[in-house]
Formats: sequence, structure tokens, C-alpha cells
Amino acid sequence: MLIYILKRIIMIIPVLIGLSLLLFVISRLLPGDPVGLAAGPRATLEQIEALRVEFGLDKSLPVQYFNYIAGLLSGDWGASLITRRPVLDDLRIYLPATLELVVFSMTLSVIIGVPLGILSAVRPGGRLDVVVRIASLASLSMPRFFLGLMLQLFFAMLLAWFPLGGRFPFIVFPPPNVTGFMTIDSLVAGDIQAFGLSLKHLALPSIAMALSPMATILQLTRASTIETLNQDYVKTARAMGLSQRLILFKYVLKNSLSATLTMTALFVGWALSGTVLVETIFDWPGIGLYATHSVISQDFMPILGVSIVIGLIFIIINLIADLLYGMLNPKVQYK
Amino acid sequence: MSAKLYAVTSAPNSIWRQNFKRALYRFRTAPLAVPALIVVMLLLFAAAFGPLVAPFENDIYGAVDTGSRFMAPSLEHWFGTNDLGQDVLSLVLGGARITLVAAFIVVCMGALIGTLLGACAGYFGGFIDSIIMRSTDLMLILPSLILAMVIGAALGAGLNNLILALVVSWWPSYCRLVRGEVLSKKEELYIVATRALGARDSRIILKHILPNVSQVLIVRMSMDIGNAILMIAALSFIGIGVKPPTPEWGLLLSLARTNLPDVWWTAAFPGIAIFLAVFSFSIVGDALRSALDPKSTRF
Repeated sequence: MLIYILKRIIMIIPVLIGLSLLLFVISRLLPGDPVGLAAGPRATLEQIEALRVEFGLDKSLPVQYFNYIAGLLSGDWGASLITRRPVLDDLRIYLPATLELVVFSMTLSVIIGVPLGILSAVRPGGRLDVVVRIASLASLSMPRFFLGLMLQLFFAMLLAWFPLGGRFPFIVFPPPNVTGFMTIDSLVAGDIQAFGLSLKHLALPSIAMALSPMATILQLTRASTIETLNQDYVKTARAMGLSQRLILFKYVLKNSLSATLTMTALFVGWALSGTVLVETIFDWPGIGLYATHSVISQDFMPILGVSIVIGLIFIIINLIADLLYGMLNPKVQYK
Repeated sequence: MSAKLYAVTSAPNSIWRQNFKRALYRFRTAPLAVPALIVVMLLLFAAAFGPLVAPFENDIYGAVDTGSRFMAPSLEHWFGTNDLGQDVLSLVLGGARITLVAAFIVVCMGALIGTLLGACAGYFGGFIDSIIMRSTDLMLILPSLILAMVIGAALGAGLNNLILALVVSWWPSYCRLVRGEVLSKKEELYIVATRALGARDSRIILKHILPNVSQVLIVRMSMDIGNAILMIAALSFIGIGVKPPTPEWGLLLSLARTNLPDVWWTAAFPGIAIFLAVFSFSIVGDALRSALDPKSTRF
């Protein structure tokens, strides 16, 4: 088991090298002139050239790539062409905000998706099942940005129940930074008012993010519960006269939820891509908004940084999901 | 078995007709399939003839009429007008062509590249397989939205670049799908027999393996159109991809943001159009799956 984990961790290194190479090659396809753009319209040729030297863009591509990899390993992820701030520092600020949003919305989608999935699995083809299935397909088709806009329109602009965007009001002092999670930080500081404020800011973006993973989790729970309900041991339990509730909660869920939980872990990776859209709408200061701003100004180092972080999180989550599956399902053997 | 043989010898067409009838029945009885098919037909009609039936055709091409800005939905302007006085209904109709054509190109090109690479990987195995599949795995690490964002940013704005960026990030999932199918098909007896008859690899792949994979592919592609529409709209929404005055749905929605909450119609109708298009394409795709592959479960 331990050897398996070590092997998987070592396997991450070539994958990361490949990923960074792929992204690096794509970024250098750039037909435009990001340096000229960053230097501004009044920059002289010498100034542009100086900027090019400063960012190491005057060297050959293999040298640039080697420098980038060496920097990645030593904690120098390059700097933004526009703000000149180091990418790693920016990521340290923005990543916790995104993670807070992702954790909150995934929790929301599991809390709602799993029970609804079980309910519709109990009577497949029933009225509730049809409604739930159509609703879940509809939520998968709902563009996150449109849902976000409509939530904003109704609950922030018209009803004014929730703030329009952002993470915390500007006019209130935020709690001291401990974990980077606003909600946890305010609880640590014992500031109930700040906790309420940060929850209010989290609500609409989380709902906009949670809807489509919720639908998928619902469908997975439904499918695996139906499959388990049709197995022989469940029929035996029924024949023995056990009540439906006892069968469902004691014998079926344990087996049907292990697959769902594993898949849920995988969705965290996909949820990270949804943050790009949701953060743009709600002005949530996370890596998605950071990436969007950088993409629009063709500022490549931040985009590379964000993509590598997302890739890394995805790989790690994959590993955790595999291990989790093995723990929940003793039949799995590690090689 | 004997009944089947009898049917084949007596009337060669009737099995086909029977299967078609059964498939049609399964399609019709899938929930919401028929209304969704109607919506899809309407969308295809709008994509083909949108500019002709649009009440204010010039608005699609960027005509501006500041005299009639921000008019609420009325009999003259069913969906109201936007900040430039353009008729939102006309823009949505004009946008249907852009979004649907782009989505079809993305899915078809992605499927074509993925199928060819996946078939080669699955059929030849060994070194070719490792190279193709390792690069596929690499591309699948990043969510396709992020990958398309990176490529789109590198290529710059424009509809063609948007399509190219999406095609590049679209093929890996097809590659994996087709490789798996080919791996299982190539061991079957009829392939071994064809090889024993001396057929070349290219003939075996193109004439014997791929036709047997096509059903899975068609179902997957039809369910994927909705995803492609979502992705195109999303990329335009965050500012990569098409630029004004092209009436792409995601872009229309993004431009409408600044006018909320008073002018809700410029945001609502393009958004509803995206939702309806994605929803009905996924339902039709799902119904198609249950029609073509009765063993699969619905939804």
C-alpha cells in the first residue's frame, strides 16, 4: 500500500513535466506581442527590448523552457508582464478564495444530490423519479454564467437579500488571515458578524457553482443505488421480511455510495474550471478571475501558473479518489 | 437463431425495417424526446434561415438605431431592444447560426481527429499506442475549458480561433473512447478472418472496425453538441472568442450584464436560448442512445 502511494507520487513528476511542456509550447504559439502590449504604446524600441531581456524572452525556446522548469522547482513561477508581481505570490492570495468556494459548493451539491438520488432510486420510473431526472438534466444544461446572472438579478439586485459580488464588504475590517478561508478565519477570531457576512457573500456563487455537479452526483447515486437494490443479497433481505428502510440504510447505501463518493472527489477537479465563469460574474477574487484577467491581457505567466495549479490539484485528487475507493471497496488490490 | 435466418432469406429488408421501427418507438417513448426534437428542428431552421425570418435583418450585421434603445418587449420587438437599439429577437436568431455551426464543426472535427488517433492507438498498440495515449492523458488532466482558454488566449480573438482552440481540446475524450472500442473489436472473429484473407490494415480499420464503432460515436457526438454550445458561449462570455458585433449568444449575455437589473430582456433571452439549445440537444442525444442501444439505461 505504502509502496503503491510512493509510486503514484513519483509518477506525478513526469506528468507535471509533460503538462508544463504542453502549456509552454501553447503559450509560445502566441502570434501577438505581449511584451509590446505590456510596455505600452509610447515605449521605445529599446524599452521593449529591455523588457524582453528582463523577462528572459530574448533567449531560445529550449533555454526559456529550462529556465521556467528550474524556476517552478525553486519556487520562482515567473512574474506577470502587466503588474510585475510574482505569480506565486498572487496564487497564494487567490487560491484560498477559490478553494473556499469549491469546498462550499461541493458540500452543497453532495448534501442535496445524494438524498435526492436515493429518493428517486427507491421507485425508479415513479413520478418523483421522472421529475428529479428531468430537473437534473435541465440543471446540467443550465449555463453557469446565465444561472449566476439570474441569481444576481433576483436575489442581489431586485430583492437585495445577498451582496452583488466580492468576498467581503470593503467597509468592514476582515478577520485576521489564518487559513485564507474567510468563514473559518472569522470563526477563529470569534467574530460572528464577519462569519455571517462571509457566508452571505458565499451563498450565490456557491449555488451557481453547485447546480451541475449536484445533478451529476444525483444521477450517479441513483444509478448505483438502483444497481445495488437489484442484487441478490437485497432480494434475500427482502425475502426475510426486513423493512425497506432497514435494507436501504443498513445494507444498500454502504455499497452504493462508495462509487459515488469516489466520483465526487473527481468532480472537485472539474469544479475548478467552473470557478472561472462564476468568479467572473460574482467578482470573486480567486484564481479563476485572475486567469480571466490574464487571458484578456495576454499575460502568460499567470495563465501558466493557474493551469499548473489546477492540473496539480486534479492529479492529487485523482490519487486521493483512487485510495479512497480502495478503502471503501476491499476487493480492490494495489499493484 | 433459426427464425432470424428465415427472416433474412425471405425478405432482406424487413429486419432493417423492424429494427428501425423499434428504434423509433424507443425514441418516441423516451421522456420529453419529441418536444426536444421539435426545439432542435426549430434551432436548425433558425440556423439555416435565421437572417431571412428575423424581423430586423440588418441588426444582425451590426446596424445601430440609437433612437430605439432599451425598448421593453412589445409586439414590434418581441424580445425588446438593446443598448444600440438592435432587436434582440433578430440577434438571437442570427446567433443561432454562429453557435450551432461552430458547435457542429467542433464536435465533428474533434470526433474525426480523436477517432483516427484512437483507432490507430487501439489497432496497432505498442509504441504508437503509448505515444498517443500518453499525450491524450496529458490533455485530459486539464479541464477542457481551461485548456481552450489557454489556447484561445494564445491564438487571439475571433470565431475561427475559438473553434480551433475547442477542437484541440475536444479530441482527447473521443480518442480514448474509440481506442477502447477498437481494442475490444479487433479481437473478434470476423476481423481475424478478414486479416487471414489478406486485407491490409487500413482496409480493416476503415471498412470493418470503424463502421462497428460508428453507433457509439454517433450517440456520443449527439450528446456532445450541447456541451460544445455551452463551451462556445462560456468562452465568448469571458471575453475570449468572438468579438462584437457578431451576435454570439454568450457574447450577447456578457454585453447585457452592464444593463441589469432595469433592462433584463437583453440578458434573459440569449440565456434562455443557450439553455434551451443545450437542454434539447442533450435530451435528443439521450433518446437517440436509448433508441440505438436498448441495453443502456435512460438518463
